[in-house]
Amino acid sequence: MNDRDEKTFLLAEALGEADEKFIDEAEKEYSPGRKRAQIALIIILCAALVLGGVSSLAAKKKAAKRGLAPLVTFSDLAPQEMTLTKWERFTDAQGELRALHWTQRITDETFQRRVLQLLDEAQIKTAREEPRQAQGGYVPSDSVHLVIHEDELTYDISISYRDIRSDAETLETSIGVGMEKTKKHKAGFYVWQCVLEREPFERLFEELWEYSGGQVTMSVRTDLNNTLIDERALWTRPDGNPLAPDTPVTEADRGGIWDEFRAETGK
Amino acid sequence: MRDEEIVELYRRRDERAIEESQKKYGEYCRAAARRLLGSELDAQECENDAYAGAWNAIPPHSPEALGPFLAKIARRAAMKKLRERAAEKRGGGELPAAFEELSECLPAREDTAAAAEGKELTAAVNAFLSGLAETERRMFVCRYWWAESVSDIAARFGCGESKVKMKLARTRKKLRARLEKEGLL
Repeated sequence: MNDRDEKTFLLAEALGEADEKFIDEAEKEYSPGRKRAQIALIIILCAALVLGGVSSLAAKKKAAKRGLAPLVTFSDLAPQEMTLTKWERFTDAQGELRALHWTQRITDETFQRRVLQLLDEAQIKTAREEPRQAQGGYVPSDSVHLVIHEDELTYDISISYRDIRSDAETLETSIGVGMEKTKKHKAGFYVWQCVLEREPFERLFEELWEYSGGQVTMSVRTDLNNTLIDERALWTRPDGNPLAPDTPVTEADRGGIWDEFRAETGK
Repeated sequence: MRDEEIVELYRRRDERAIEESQKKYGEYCRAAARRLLGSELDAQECENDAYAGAWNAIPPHSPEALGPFLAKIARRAAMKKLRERAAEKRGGGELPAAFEELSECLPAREDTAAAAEGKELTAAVNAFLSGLAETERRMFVCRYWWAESVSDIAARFGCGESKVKMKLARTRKKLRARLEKEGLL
């Protein structure tokens, strides 16, 4: 037996001596009702990253002038009420901006109702929009991702802007574990949804909860050949870096992100 | 018969303890061994080892949960047989695949420290397990203790195989990080 086999045996034997309560627990009939998973994270992911097209936020502003204004804007959502927890740029190999993705956590109940109202309006409006491949540019708020934490009365939303000129037909098969393609968006991209129970993320979730800037999220990107590019860290700091459980997100972190956002968008 | 009564039979050195254990936990013990060994005959041997082990351990030991206690002994016996098989380059059952996955928890480099003391490793594994969320832990134990197939685990938990694989992969990654941090492997 080689060294690696020997170590594997050692590990398997150590596991074999696991506490009897874990052994007993494991084989019990599983009942979803037992789960403390009232919190469902519904994560809608945009998987369509883009061929060609708009390269900067300036294009987004132009698009807005053409009547493609975001359906839900930061100003609508009163950013002072929210914690921006994630701010990502997706760029292509040439460094051209392809998509923006941000997420906020909202804890104020009145404000939540407003957000939900806005989201509702946005979804209705989005549903009425015609495909815009021919026009190119960003289609604002084409996927509004709403995470409802039922027992904590909080909501996370993320809004993505992306170029829609992707070849949706190339995104045919499942892209990642636990992911389901929910629909082909008529504007020409797919939306991926992953429903995660609170468990097994519960522990980290609770730890992160203390850091209001922490965000539980999953992001999967594929190229147009449906090849997985990356799977983002589940736990991210506002700057997109992995959030270690013992790493608090500072006010400076948040402020920096907002400054960055404001500088880029002029909001 | 309740566990406490069976344990009491062991304490009194009453041979009915084995008979009652067999009635109540025979299949449970065989399952623990069978999945590792893939052989009913070998599993039966391990089952018998479990009763013998319990006979020797009780008293003074007083198991809190008799079934898992017996199953642990059976699994230990199965592991011993597996070691013998590995030495002969033979294997069977679900374990080779499970082991292959578990080996991801090991550092890739060859010059890793010498094998840690078994007790220390066991303590670390137990601490790791206790820190996991319940579903995560159960899936992990189902796979790597009970050597259940991924499809069986998916059926048990009412989810897809891909979800099980994802959770297992993440848990293995965490375990590896933990063991590396503690310098155990």
